[in-house]
Amino acid sequence: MVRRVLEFKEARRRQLAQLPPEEKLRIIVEMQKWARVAHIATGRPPTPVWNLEVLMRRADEPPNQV
Amino acid sequence: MRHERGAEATASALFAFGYTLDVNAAIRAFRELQAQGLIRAFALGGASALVFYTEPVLTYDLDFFVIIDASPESLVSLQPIYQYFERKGYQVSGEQVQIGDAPVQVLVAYNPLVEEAVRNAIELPFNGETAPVLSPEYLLAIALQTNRHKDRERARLLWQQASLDENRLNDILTRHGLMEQWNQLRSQM
Repeated sequence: MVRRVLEFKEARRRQLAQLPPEEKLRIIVEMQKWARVAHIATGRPPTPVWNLEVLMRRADEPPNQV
Repeated sequence: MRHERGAEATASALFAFGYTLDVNAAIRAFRELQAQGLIRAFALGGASALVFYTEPVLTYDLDFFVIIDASPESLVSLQPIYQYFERKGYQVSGEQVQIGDAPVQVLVAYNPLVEEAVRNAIELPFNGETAPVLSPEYLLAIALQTNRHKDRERARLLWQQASLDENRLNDILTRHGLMEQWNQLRSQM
């Protein structure tokens, strides 16, 4: 049973490794969100998350420029 | 088969945001720096470069390694680079520059291995353009040299998931005196 779980996990990781880099960056943003939640829940300073709102309005105006 | 269907469902849930990370803006800014003569060469490295070779790894910024012309006796300063970014209207905060959607960390190639890695970076397709990225063999060698826990984990990931040229890897590791660390890590896998 444990071996099957490990094999499943390994297969998923290999699948993730095959995704295009653009998709992997999106997954990293999701990981940042979860990391932030975990930090807040355990009383540690919140960690940053790449700004989704800015990402969303990118087509209309260049983000982060003064 | 059930596993694959599950993976597809997770993937579509994860990718339903409809946004694009503008890493290309950062790459264009560095190409401009190069054209201006402020840097000699640059390449994406660190955890952000792993997206080209392995499963995604949590990171908070994009690491750009740069080679700057400086005489051996002079101190390397990143000031001209930060000043250039500020003139272009990018937000500089501490060591980070916010370019497009990406917080960018500028790191000077700090030893012969990293400098060689930047010089031998490969242009890979990214979001409709190309980006200079450290090759997986050099990323593994740098991870071994840095040798923190997370670096050893990255070296392991690269070995298990990236398409490595083993002859090239052995050559790099031998020339930079990293074979012992590599054999030690391999014995633990």
